[in-house]
Amino acid sequence: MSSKENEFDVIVIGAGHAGCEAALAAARMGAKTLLTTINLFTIAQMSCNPAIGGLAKGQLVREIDALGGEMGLIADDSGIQFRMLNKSKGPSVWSPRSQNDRIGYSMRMKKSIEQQPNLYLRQHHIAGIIVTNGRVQGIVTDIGTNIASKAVILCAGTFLCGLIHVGLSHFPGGRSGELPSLGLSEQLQQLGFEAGRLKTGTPPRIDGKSIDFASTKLQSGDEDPQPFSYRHHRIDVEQLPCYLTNTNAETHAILKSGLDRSPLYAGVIKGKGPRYCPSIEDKIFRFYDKPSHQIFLEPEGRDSREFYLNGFSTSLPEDIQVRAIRTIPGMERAAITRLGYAIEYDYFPPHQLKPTLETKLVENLFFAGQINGTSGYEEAAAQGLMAGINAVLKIRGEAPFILDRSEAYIGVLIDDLVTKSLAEPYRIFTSLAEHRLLLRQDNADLRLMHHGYRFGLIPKETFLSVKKKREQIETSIKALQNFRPAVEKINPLLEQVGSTPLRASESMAKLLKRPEIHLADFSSLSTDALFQDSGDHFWQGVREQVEIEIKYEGFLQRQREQIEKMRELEDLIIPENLDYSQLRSISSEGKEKLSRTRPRTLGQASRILGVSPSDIAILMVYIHSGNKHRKAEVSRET
Amino acid sequence: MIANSLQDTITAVSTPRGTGAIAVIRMSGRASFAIAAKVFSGTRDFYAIDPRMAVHGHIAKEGGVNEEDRRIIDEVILTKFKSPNSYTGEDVVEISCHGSRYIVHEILGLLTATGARLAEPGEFTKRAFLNGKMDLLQAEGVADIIAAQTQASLQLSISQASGKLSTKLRRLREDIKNYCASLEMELDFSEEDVEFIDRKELVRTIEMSQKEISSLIESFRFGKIMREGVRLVIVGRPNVGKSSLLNALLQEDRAIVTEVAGTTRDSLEEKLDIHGVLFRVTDTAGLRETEDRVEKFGVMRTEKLLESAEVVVLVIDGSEGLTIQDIHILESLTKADSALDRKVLVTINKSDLPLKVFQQSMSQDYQVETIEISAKTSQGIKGLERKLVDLAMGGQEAQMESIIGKTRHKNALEKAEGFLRAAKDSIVQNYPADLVAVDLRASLSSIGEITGEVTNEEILQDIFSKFCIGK
Repeated sequence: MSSKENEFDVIVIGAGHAGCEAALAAARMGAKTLLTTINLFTIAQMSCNPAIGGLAKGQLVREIDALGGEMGLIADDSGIQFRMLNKSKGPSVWSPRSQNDRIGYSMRMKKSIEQQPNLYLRQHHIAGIIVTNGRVQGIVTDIGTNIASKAVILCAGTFLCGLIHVGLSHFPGGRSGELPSLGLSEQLQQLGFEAGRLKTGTPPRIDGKSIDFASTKLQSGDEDPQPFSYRHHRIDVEQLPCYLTNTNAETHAILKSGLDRSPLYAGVIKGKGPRYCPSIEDKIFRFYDKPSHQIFLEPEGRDSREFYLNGFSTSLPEDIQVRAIRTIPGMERAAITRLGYAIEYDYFPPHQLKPTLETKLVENLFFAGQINGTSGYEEAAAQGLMAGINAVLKIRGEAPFILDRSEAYIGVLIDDLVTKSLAEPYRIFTSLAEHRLLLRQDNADLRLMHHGYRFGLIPKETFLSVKKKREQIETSIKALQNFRPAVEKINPLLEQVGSTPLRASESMAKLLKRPEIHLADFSSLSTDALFQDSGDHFWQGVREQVEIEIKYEGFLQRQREQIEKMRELEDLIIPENLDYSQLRSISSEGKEKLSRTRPRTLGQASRILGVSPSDIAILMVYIHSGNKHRKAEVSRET
Repeated sequence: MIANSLQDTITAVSTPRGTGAIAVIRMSGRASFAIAAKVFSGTRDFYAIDPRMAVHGHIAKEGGVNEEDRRIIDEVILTKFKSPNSYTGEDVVEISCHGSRYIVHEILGLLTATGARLAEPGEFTKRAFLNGKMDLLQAEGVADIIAAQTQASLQLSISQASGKLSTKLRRLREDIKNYCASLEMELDFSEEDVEFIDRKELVRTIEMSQKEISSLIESFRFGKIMREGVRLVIVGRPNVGKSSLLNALLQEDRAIVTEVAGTTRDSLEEKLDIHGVLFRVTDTAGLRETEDRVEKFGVMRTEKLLESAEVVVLVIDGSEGLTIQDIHILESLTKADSALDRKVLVTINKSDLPLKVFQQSMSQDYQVETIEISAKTSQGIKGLERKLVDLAMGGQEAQMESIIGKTRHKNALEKAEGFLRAAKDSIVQNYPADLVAVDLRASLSSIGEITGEVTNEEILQDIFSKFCIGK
C-alpha cells in the first residue's frame, strides 16, 4: 500500500453505535476518516435488546438527530414498532421508543457508512496506538501495519479484555460469538491510564416457533407512530407486536437452586453491574418477596423468528436457564436459540477525559461509548457524535464543542461522566437533568439544530425550516395573547370539552393554560393554520410548542431563571494548567478532588463531590486574580 | 452544591462579634436601593438622599391593610453608596442601628423578607475583589478571609442544630427525599411493574412535612427569644429582696423602649436589655400558702406566670438561711421544670451580710444553678447577668454569628415550606408528575442548605433500593 493510503485525519476504532456516529460526523465535516472493526458484518450491532430510545434515551436520540447524527434516521428506517412512552405524564418526560430489526439496523448503518464520501471502512484487529511526545500519531494493527492519523477515537465497547460468563464457565469474547480485543487495554494502562472492570448481561433468545403466544398478553405499537428523526415526517410501516408474560414461584425456585453456580454469587465476576438492569437472579435475590416479574418477548426482526426475552437477563448455567424459562406461561416448550450471559470488560474511568472526550493524558486521543463506563446504544452514539465533532475541531485548531447541562441531555451525560465517579455502568435518566422541563424530546431541533448546521451535519433547508418554526412559534404566542374570542362564540366550545364557561372575554393564551384546552378543539374560532389540525408537519410542530410554552409558562420561566443564575459559574473557564496544590485556603479534600478531575469550568468544579461552596468562592477569586478568565465559547443562537 | 449567584443582593452585620453600642448592617447588590427604599423612612425620601450622606430615620415593617400596623423596629442612621463608589463596587446601603441582637435580628429578617439574602462568609470581600475594588490585596489574602470566615460559620452550622433539632431535620430530609424518589420513579421507570404513589397519600404526607417544618421554625428557641424576648419571673418569700434585685438590674441596664408585637402590656412587666438580649421581667407577689383571699388571687396569677416563664429566678435571703417555704417553692419549681422546659436560677441574696446558705452546697443538694449576690451593693450583679443570658440562650455562645446561623436555617426552612406548598397545589390541580417534581426537588435542595445537599445519585439509590427496577 502506498503511504497515502495509510494516512488519515481521524481513525475510529470500533464500529458500534459510538464508532459509527464518530466516523460519520468526522467524515461529513470533511476529515479523511478510517473506521476499523474486528468484523465488518457486525456494524452497529445491537448486542442487547433490539430497541432504540425509551425514557430519557429517546430524548438523546432526538438530540443526536438534531445535531446531524445518524441514529434517529436508522431507527426510523429499521423500526418494527413505535411507542411514545410516558404519555400520561407531562411533556418533559415523553420519550419515543422503537423496536428494531436487529439485522436491518446493522445493514442500514453499513449502507450509510459505505455511501459516505471521505469515510473508509476496514476490518482490522488493532494491537495498539502510536503515541509520540504525549500525542497520538496513529494505530498499529495486529499484523503490524502502521496507519497514521492526526486523531484517534477509541470506541471499543465491551471488547477490551471481554470475558463472557455462562454459569461457572467463562471464555474470552467481545460479544456472544465474537472475539475480544486483547492487548490494547494493556498498552493504554502502560501509557498511564487508570482502568476498571464493569459487568453487564443479556437474556436468552427464544425460537418463536416454540412459544405459545396465546398464553401471553399482546403489546402493540402506537396507532399514530412518530418518527425519531426531524428529517422524517411520518412512519409508514406495518408494526409488529411484543408480548408480555410473567415469572412465578416455580421459576424463582428453579433460579434459586442454581445460585450456587451463578458466577455473580460465586464471586467469579469482579466487575460492577448496573443496578437499573439487574439479572433475573439478582431480582429474586434482592426482592425475594415479589411473587412475579414481568417478561417481555420482543421480536428480533421482521424476518426473524427469534425473540428477545426482556427482563430475564441471566448468567446462570444452561440447564437452569432452560428449566426456569419453561415454567413461564407461554414458554412451556421454549427452545433457547442463544443463551443468556454476563460479560466483564475493561473500561477507563472517564474523569480521565476532558468534556470534549479527549483524554487528558494523550493529546488527540478520544474515548467514546462503553469504554467510558456507560451502558446503552443511545449514550454510546451521543458520545461518538461529540467525539467525532471535537476530534475534527481539535485538528483544525478550532474552539471545542461542549454542550451545557442546561442545553441538552448530551451535556448532562458528558458532564456527569467527566465530573462524577461512576459506581456502576452509567445510564441516562430524566432525573439527572436539573432542567428537565426545558430538555424535551419535542424541542431538540429548536435547542440544537443550529449547532448541527454550523458543523455541516444538518442540511441548510432543514436548518431554515427550524428557524422558520422558531419565528412562527413566537409570532403565534403573541397572537394568542392578543386574541380574545367573544364569550358567546367560545362558551359553546368550552362546554364541548367540559371546561368552565367564561363570564367575560379572556385571551386565548390565558384559556390555553387550562389543562383540558387544546388549540385543535377551537378550529371554528379562526382560520389561522395554528387552529387547523390539517396534519401539516410544520404546523403540528408549531402548535405543540405554542401549547407547551403557554401551558407551562411559569415552570419553564423558573427553570430559565435558574440557568441564568448558574451561568456565571458555567461560563468561567479554569486555566488548564492550574496547580491546585499551590492554592492556599482551599480545603485539602477540595484540592484532591479538583486535581483528580481538573474541571474545565467553575460550574463543573462546583458539581464535584467533596468540593465545598467556599472552595468554589476561593477558586473564583484565584481565577479572576490570574486574569486568565474568558467567557466560554459556547455560541448560542437566538 | 449550588453556589450563590453574584446577581443576588446580600446582607450581613459588618460590625465585629459581641454586642456594641451600635451595629452596622450592610447590604450590597443591584436591588439594595429598592429594598432599602421599602423599609426606610427618613427625613428625606430614600431616592433623594445623596450618596455618602448619613441620614437619620426609621426602619419599619410595612403594615398590612392599615398604615397603623406599620411597626418601627429601630431608629437608625442610613448611608447609601452608589456603584462603583462603594466597598463592594456595587450599590451598597449601610444601616447603623442599636447594637441589640434583637434589633439586628429583626432588621436582617426584614431585609431578607424584602428580597436580599444573607451573605456567605467573605462574600462582601469576594465581590469587592471581583469588582476590582481591592487591587492591592493579594488574591491569597481574600481567599484566606473566605476560608477563615467559612471555618467560623461552619462551627455554627449544623453542629449548632444539635440533638432533637438535627434528628428532626434529618428525618425531614429523608421524608422529602422519599417523595422525590417516588415521583422520579414514576418518571424514569414508568414502564416497570411497580406501583405509583397515591396522590391523596402524597398530599397527606406533604402536609405532615409542612407541619413539621412549621414547628421546627417555631422551635428555634433563639429565634423566638429574639422576637419576643425572654420571659423572666422573679419569685421568693416576701422580704427576701426581689424588688431590690429588679431595681439593681434596672440600674445596670437600660430598659428597652421599643414596643414588641404580641407582648402583654402588663404594668408589672419591665423590659431589660442584657448583653443585647431582651428580657421581660416580672416581679411576683410573695409566694406562700395563704388563706387570705386577696393574696390567694396574687398567688394564682404567679402560678400562671411561672407556666410561661423561660427563666425563673428564686430569691433566697442568705442571711436568714434556707426555710421550709424556700424548699417548698424550690421543689415545686424543679419538679415542673422537666415538662415546661424552663431554667431555674437560685439567687442567694444579701451576700453583704454573713451568709447561712452557700452556693456550693445549694448546687450540690438541689442540683440547681446557684449564684450569690447582694442586691443592695450590686455585688455579683454582673455575674448574674451573664448567667441569665447563658440560661436564656441554652448555654450557646450568644454572638452575632449565631444569629446569622439561625436566621439562615429559618430562611431555608421557610423556603422549603413554600415549595412544598406549591407542590401540593400542583398535585391538587392535577398537574403531571414532572411539574410537581420541580417544586419537590426545590424543597429538597432548600433543606439541603442546612443538612447537606441531596444528590441525584442519592435519589436513584433510594429508588433502586426500594423498587425492583430493570427489564
